[in-house]
Amino acid sequence: MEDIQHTFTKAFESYGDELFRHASMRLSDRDRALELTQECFMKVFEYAKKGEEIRELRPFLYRTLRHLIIDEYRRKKSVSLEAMAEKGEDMNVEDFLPSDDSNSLEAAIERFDGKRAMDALQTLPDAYREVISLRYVDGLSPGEIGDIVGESENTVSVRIHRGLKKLKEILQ
Amino acid sequence: MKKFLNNLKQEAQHIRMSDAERSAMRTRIFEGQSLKSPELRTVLGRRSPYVFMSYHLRMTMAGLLLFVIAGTGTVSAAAAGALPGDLLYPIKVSVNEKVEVALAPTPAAKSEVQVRLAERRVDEARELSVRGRLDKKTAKALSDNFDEHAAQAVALAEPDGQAVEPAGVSLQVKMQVREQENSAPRAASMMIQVGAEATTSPEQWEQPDKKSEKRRGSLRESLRVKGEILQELKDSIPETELQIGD
Repeated sequence: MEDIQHTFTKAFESYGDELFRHASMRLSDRDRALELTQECFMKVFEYAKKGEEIRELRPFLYRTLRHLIIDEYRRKKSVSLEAMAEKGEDMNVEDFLPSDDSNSLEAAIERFDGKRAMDALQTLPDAYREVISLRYVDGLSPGEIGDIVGESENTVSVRIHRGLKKLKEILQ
Repeated sequence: MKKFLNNLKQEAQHIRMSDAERSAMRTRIFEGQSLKSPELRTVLGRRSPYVFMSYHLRMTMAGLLLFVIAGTGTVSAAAAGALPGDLLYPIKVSVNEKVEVALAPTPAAKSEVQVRLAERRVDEARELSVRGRLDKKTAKALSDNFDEHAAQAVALAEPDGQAVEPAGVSLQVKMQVREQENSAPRAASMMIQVGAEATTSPEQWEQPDKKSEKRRGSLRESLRVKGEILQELKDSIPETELQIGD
């Protein structure tokens, strides 16, 4: 039990932010992203406490988060298309950044380019957004991503390639 | 495209939980519901240390405090996000954070603030490392500061020797004593008996101790983990720039 607690404390400190970041980029709703990240850790923690085997924690956490995000999409869809459209317009990357960052001109310029990149990513369909953020933000290999999304390495590579192509079109 | 992906990665690094969000989430994951958390209960259960002040004195102090905050607020708010090497960083560490500690009313709250400050050093190291600005000297300073706050946090969480007397027990004892005063002859011996009962009255005294022991355990554990992360960041600094100065 002590071991599990230690492993999870460490996992939370190491992966908490990246899972939250991933959820934020997929959902564009800071509060929901926080809730899902928390739920993800709680679920996996409960699972481990029951004595179930988890071979690699990081991909397992990502997979769990992925299921929660898919559930969230399904739930949202059944609410109202109108509300979603409104939400889409309001959506702003700044909303889920903590307010304590940039405090120099240099940082402000960096942030301007960064914000454009993030906005472009947000216009991609979720299937592409998912693999591109896993590949280029979280730095996972196509094999690891395949493990998380339940596809072959090949399919993932193709999807990343198409996503990048779409991004190029958006940026031009 | 490479530049775009770099920008994206950099931008994404800014998306992270705030100190408060992270610590609230940690509490909820590892210690059940937030309101049931022992820390919060201890904080809520204690009397305000300001009860000795009269109402007027308290209001005057509050007014004064507001005045001071309004004056220094602008600078210190600007300093809040500063990183080591930034112009405002010294203000953040030696003004903002000292005030934060001073404003925490109870030892438990002070301990929480110290934990938060220690966490902040790890976050700063992480942020600098992402921006490629983390060097050995800064890492050493951050890790010293981390150790300092961590030690304070643990020290403040130690029991202060005066455990809070469970109200139920003392009331029960007093009532028993009163009953026995009526039955005169055996009163003295019975009172000794009751006294003995009160001091040993077992479960109710041990429980809070166990809880706070557990709390201190999890505090140490989480600080240890963070220390490890800081160490990892420190170890990841490339050796290259060392010889240039020498």
